[in-house]
Amino acid sequence: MCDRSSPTQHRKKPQTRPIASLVLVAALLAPAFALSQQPRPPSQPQDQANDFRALATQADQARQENNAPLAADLYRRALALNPSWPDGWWYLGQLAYAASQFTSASDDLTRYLQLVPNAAPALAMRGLCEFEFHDYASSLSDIQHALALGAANDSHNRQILLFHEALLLTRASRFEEALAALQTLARASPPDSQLLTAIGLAGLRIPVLVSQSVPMQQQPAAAAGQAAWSFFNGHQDDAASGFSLLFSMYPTLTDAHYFYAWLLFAHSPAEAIPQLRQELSLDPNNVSALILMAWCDILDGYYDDALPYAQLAAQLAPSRFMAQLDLGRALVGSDRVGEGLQHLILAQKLQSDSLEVHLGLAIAYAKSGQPALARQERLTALALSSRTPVYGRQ
Amino acid sequence: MMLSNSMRPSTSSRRGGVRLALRLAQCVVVMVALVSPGRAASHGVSACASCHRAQTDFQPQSQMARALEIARNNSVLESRDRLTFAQAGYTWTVSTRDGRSIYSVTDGSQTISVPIVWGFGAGNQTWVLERDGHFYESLVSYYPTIHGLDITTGDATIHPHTLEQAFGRRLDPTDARTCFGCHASNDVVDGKLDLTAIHPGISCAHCHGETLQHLNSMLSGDLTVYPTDLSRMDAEDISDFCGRCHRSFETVVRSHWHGEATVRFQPYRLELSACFNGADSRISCVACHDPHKPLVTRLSWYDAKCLACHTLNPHARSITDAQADRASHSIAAEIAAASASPQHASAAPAAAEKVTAMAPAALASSRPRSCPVATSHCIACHMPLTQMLGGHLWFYDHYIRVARPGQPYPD
Repeated sequence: MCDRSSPTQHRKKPQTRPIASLVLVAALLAPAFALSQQPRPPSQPQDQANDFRALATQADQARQENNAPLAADLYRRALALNPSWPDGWWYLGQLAYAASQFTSASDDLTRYLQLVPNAAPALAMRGLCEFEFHDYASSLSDIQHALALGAANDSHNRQILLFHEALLLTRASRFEEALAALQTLARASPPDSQLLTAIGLAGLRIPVLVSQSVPMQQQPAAAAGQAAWSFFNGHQDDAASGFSLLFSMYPTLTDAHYFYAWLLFAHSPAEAIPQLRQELSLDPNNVSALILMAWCDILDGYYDDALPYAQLAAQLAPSRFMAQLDLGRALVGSDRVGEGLQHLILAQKLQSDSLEVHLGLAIAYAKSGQPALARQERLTALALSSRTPVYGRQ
Repeated sequence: MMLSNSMRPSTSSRRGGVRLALRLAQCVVVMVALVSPGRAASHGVSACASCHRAQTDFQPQSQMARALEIARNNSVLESRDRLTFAQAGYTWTVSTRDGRSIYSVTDGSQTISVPIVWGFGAGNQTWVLERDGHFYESLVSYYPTIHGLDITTGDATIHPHTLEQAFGRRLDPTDARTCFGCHASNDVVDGKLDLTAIHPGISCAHCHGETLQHLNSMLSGDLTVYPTDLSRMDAEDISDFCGRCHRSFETVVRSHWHGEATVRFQPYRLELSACFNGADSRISCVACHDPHKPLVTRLSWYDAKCLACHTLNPHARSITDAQADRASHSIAAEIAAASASPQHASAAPAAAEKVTAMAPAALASSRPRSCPVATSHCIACHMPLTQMLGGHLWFYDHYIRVARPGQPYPD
């Protein structure tokens, strides 16, 4: 966490894209609060109440006249008289934010959120502030909370928040989640260089922010991002050419073939397999590639083929639930039901709400002669499936 | 088990082994006379028929064998000269003359016309059309229940704004491979769709795999190469195997598919049934359906399958085909009405949660019961007839259950 008592120490020159974004966010979010609560006078002597009202009115007027220093000073004085005035904290935070005083803005928004919990725009803005002063864990938490509360109801805000969420997820090594956000952005945005690099960094599993990446990382990331952008937008031939170029330029680059395999997998697991083989020839211990390779074989019913990949993945990363799930499914499919069941139960402990784990357990229980437990697992899987209804083509 | 029991010789009995060798020798003589290597793939079941008569005699008449009809052999279209359908400013026409069918769509000023080559389905039929190097699923299909065309099932949400959109839904290569993969055989080479040697419909190799290698090895006297032995599959595996095309429980749940449209995914629905037991061969796809024969449509034929587990209730009565038909349509109407009611949206998940919360011990304690109502036509009530969205397709719901009045389609 940052030291919020000394805001200037943490003020960084923001990146080109974020600064534009932040100002726009402030401008876009402000109207949402223009109609919020009017200043409420505290239950104090009449003179003080009158002073507060006067200061609040003057502050609003100064803000509307774009006199930010005067407005901030007046809001501070009004809040000194009435610290439970939500709008005062919101506008003070917004003014600090517009002036790139991110730590100060974050403090003001925290005071606002104490008075108005779960205010999505304030959470979003505080998350963007935290991003600027490098409190990345808090930033991700606030941005995701804001998104869950509907902060992305405006398309521009949505792009800004999703982009920052993706950067933070990449930095936290949550690459698949980052790519999900970036895929949404790629479908709605032209191939901007920062977006392409962000996609590439996530795809190549490099846990750094775009602004903190070095040229040696940026160049392959941009090329990978360009190819993936084509894929996300349905230009599969362009994507294939782009990845071929990437592979020829960086023949020993790890995770590049895995990235292409990951994209292809959602479309056609069979097409992912050659890329996974390439990846594993470069790095036989690439756990993500091992997991996906085993999963492709499991989906095709080739359990014996899946088994060695699943065994190695579980050996290298025993705490990854997908490694345990792969091994459990491969063992059950290879008629080693008892052993497989143990790994599936372990996978369930690692991620209890996984649909795939319950599907695997249903099969294992059925094959081990426990139909009641099998049915229980089927119904649990069905309930998990119902929580995220998608009526797609069948 | 009906799947290829004869494929793998028993080694437990020397006498059996000698008899088998004699039979195979006879087989090889007949095969050499009938076929040459390489013809097996193009001739589908005929090459296998020399040894596997029981499996091949009726297979060509089955719905699976007729899953794809090609130009000049399209039984659905050959007796219908002209079919038309109009909606939202577009008119679709399927005209057939001298065995050649043309699919057209017009907006009144412009028309797109292509020949129909691939007809998917032996009853209801949708066409996969080729245009400018791409495959398209026709936006209208033929339905025998109305003896005419209507919007293709699943495409009701497509509201075309251009003639191209009205023509059909463009299929990406994966979609096209999936369509042909379940309606034809020998259509994929090196993982890619290749229609040069396609066999329309489902033939032996589609399910049994390396039948050509098996045939060639038999012809060369090598009696060691056999296709995958499907007879060793348990009910769970069979459901998964058939579910590759008919959609398995895993596929449906993983894809988050819900609603009445899932009634056509029989393996998924069957696995929802309380009586489904993945280790019990009495309740599996092939326990009731012989994939080598046409579908039996007489409901009472299936009673014996239910009575393999359940006992007859002496106080129940036998019912006629007509009574069963009325009962099934009455239940179907009740389910449709309940599913359409405003409470449906909240009722279904609550029901699912309730079942999910049921203790395994409670499920285990349930024993096959005898029906207090009837001694025959079990399907009429316990596998309720369900109408698909669009209204032209009806399926018996393979989610075997006691359908209560007022209950919506259980999802």
